[in-house]
Amino acid sequence: MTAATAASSPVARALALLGSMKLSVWLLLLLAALTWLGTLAQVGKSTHEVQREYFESWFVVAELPLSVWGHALYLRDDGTPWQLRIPLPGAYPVMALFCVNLIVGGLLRMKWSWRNAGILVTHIGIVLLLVAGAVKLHASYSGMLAVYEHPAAEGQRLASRQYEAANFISFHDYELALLVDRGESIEERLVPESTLWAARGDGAVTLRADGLPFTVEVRHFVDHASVLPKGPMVQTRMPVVDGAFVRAESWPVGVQPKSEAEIPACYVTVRSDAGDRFEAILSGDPRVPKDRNRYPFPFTVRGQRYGLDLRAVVYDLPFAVRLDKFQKLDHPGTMSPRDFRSFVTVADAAGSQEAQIFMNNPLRRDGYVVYQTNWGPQPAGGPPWYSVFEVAWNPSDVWPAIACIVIWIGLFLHFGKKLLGFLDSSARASLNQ
Amino acid sequence: MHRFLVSVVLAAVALLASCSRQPPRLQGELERAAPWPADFVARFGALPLQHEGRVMPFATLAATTLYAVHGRRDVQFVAPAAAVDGEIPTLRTVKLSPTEWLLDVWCFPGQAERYPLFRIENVGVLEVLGFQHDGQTQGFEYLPYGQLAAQGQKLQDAAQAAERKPQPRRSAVDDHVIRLFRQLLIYHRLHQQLAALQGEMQVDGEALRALFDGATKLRLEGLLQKADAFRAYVKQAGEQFEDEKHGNLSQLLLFLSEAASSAAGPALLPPLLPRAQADTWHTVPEAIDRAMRGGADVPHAAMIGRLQDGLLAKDMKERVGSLDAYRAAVAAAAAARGEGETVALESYYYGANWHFHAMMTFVAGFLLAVAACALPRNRLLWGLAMGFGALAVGMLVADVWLRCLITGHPPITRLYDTFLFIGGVGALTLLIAEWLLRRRVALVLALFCGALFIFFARLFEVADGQDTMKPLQAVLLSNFWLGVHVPTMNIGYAAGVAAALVAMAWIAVRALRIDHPDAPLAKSLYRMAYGVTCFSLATSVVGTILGGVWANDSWGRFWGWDPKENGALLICLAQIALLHARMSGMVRDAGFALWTVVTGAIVVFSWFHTNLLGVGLHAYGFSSELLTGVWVSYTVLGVFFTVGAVDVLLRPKPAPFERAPSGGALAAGR
Repeated sequence: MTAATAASSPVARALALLGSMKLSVWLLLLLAALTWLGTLAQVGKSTHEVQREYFESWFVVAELPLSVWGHALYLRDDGTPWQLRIPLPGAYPVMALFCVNLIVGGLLRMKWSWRNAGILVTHIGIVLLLVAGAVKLHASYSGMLAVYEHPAAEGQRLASRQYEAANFISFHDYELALLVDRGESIEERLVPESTLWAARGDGAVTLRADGLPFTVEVRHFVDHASVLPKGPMVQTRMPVVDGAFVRAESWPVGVQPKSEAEIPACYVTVRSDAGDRFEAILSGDPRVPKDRNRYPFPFTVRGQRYGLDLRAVVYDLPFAVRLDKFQKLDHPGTMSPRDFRSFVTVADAAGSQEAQIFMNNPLRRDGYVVYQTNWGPQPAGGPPWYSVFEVAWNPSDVWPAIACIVIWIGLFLHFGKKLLGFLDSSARASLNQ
Repeated sequence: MHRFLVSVVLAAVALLASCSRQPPRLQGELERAAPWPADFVARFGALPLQHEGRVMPFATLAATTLYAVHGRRDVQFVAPAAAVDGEIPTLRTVKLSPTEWLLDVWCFPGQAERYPLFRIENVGVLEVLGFQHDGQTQGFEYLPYGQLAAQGQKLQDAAQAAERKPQPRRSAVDDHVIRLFRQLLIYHRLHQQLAALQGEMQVDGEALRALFDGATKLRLEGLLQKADAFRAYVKQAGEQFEDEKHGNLSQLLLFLSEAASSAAGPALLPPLLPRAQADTWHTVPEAIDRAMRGGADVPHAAMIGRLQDGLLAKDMKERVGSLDAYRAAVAAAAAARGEGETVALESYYYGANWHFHAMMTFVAGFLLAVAACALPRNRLLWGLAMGFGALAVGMLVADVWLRCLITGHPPITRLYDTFLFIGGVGALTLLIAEWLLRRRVALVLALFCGALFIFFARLFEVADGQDTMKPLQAVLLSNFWLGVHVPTMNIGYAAGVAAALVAMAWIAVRALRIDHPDAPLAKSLYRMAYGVTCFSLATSVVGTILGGVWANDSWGRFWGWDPKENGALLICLAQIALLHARMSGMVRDAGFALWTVVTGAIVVFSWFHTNLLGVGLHAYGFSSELLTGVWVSYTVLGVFFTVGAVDVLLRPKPAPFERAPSGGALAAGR
């Protein structure tokens, strides 16, 4: 349908190429191949990992395990199936180019007529969907918020438990926080995890905070680690600090990796300008509602107290969530839950309101969405109950729903018209001869 | 063509012959001489009980358990007929329905444990268990519970060793051993559940007998009804319960503690509190435990009494009377709480078996449609076949509608439902295509599609061995999304399957030279494949995005690249690419047909294979039979694709047919 223009200017030709339907077909097939390979890859890797490698990257070496009837054709010595390696562009540039192709070919260069109305509307919906995806990828973030059920009596509250929260913590992303003890308050200076990646393996990252009299050197950053005591029988090439060392963990064969369950660790060395030296292991222990407190590595330089903490990224919320009651109903005679829901009070400067959050019924407020995801203690249940929410900030939250309606209207118009035309046509009559 | 048909018929006959092999022989004598009365089996099949989170009829429990342990819909064996004086007993074949089988497990445990039940497909398993065998044969071996349970420890060790191996390293024997151990456990629980009711308790000692009105033998009911007096007696006996003056008190206590803690199974005792108050169903061990702790329920004791009378009865008449009394008491209590309403409907549902009748109607219609192709001038046959198709779709709708009424959910909640739904929608889509373009091919395909998918549903039901109406986990309990996203998506799958069938017909027409690709027959099939693909695309795209909107509301993300989501996206991408390739002239008829067959394979991938990968949020069904089915489908589609592709490469432009096309029979619709 793209009007074949006779224009010979390079711009016009580039536009024609960019908007050509053949390009769309190839891009769609490429995306299909990536989707397929990215699905099979999830057998051995976490969904999050595959998402980053295949769908959010510019380039990927896809791995195709060769198997027939569910049995691998060749097994390597470690029992994993032999894989074919195929270099491909990542889904991200493919979808970006496809979006351009769609806008140029499917909207701008297409004739805006009633005849094409259905297709145009559909294309607008798809563009909206792709843009929503891009906005989600670049602008949204999410994490978890876990709180205990608020006890009725003041005296039953434990200081170590979190009953109310106005922030949430990331599932995957960590940060190195430098805490400066200012007496009344604590000043935080943050370094994102990505800066520390250079300290993986034999690398090292040296950080220097403005106006502070020391440097922090990070070494041996490990993404999935545990910190273990160094006993006499333990062999390790890692340094031993205070009788402990960092061991890199890996997922056993046949176990589905979960990036949420991976806890990073690293070694830090603080060198003050006066020549003092402090060494420590930092581990990003998971934050659970059981424990409100964290225990950063403390050190003192020139009489000022500092702390270093490797922790999951914390995001602030413009409102606080308090868990008033948690309720779990099982299918009778089983342990499988039929319903689990949280009765919460949401409060901000303007006041407070009560709400229920349960499966398929999130709380939407101030651009944030709060979902019921988990509960505890598992598997026995409470009291004391705690509830785990996922909190997401996503500007394009409702765009897909709008896109869905737009696309539905477009497809209905287009295919409806085609069907009616066919029922009316002589083509049918001639085929029915 | 004729030789091909003859070989197909011969293969079918061979298959049928192999199915009708002599059933295995029962070891030992029959304890139950007379068959269960048919009317009693029907009544008792409707007994309400609670199992796996819902109230269901006894017949459903019996059927799902039998499918799980036996892998068949009935138990068949050869046993000596009732001996008549002086004559040599003759052999007869006994065939038990699931309800009759479970009744035997309850009432004749000694006979039921000799039934040839556990299917051994691979002699390697017999070797693992240390059984003698005559080498691998074409047929299956069936081991009775008694024999298998004797090797239970060996089996458990082998199963645990196999489970420790990573999946790619497991052999066929490993998988089989794991499955067999699970089956043994299921039967074992069933066998143990009523063990406490299988005999009478001996009462020794004056004091104890006085407590039970001088009885020397005691059934559980008698003890439960005197539970409070018995507890007082035990309390008073204190530490000295082994003293001689207390008779066999210690034995009784041991028996009760074992009976109260035996494996939980279906809850047979209905809640007794009025409707407004919360109460649950109880298992027999729970009732014993409650009674011993001072919470005896007199009606429960009476129900247990009637059940035990039934189990221990001397003759069939007495047995039927007692079990009927037990059933009536349970049904009345359940009805008082409104908990038995769906049970009656479910009993009707499984008794009426509408989808089975729909399948047979599809098959009859299919034969008529084939005849209609052979006799192109006969309009009556075409009309009859269309009528059979419509009738069968109607029966299938009735079946699915009944399921909705029973579960209280929209049509698709489990993988099993997708077979019925997709079969019905696929058949209906093709029937409409036939109505629009009367080529008789779509009619044949429609009836074939309907029968095939109901057949698959029935195979899956037995192979999976699970309750097909099992309650859903919390995230799926949203009738709005279950009613909007799931059917839309499955209509997309159904149309994708239908388009692939039409495309396969196109390939067959071209490759077998039934007609020229430019002749009206092939052109019509191409138009049909195109139209059905458009329909499939529209529903798949909307269904997929709806799924994303649902996911955004339940998991907080619109798209997570989860295998099932990717599968749905793959269908959309393949079909969008196909329609654009067609529009831009990249593919024509042949390319369209081949591509549609590939899309059919993608539908199979999305529908089943993604669930079998064992990862992601949609991994809700697994069975090795299903994986075999998936690969069979890939193979069939692959053969059609290869034949079509080779034909197109060898004969890019077939010469026009000189004579009237040999398949004119198919082509002419006048």
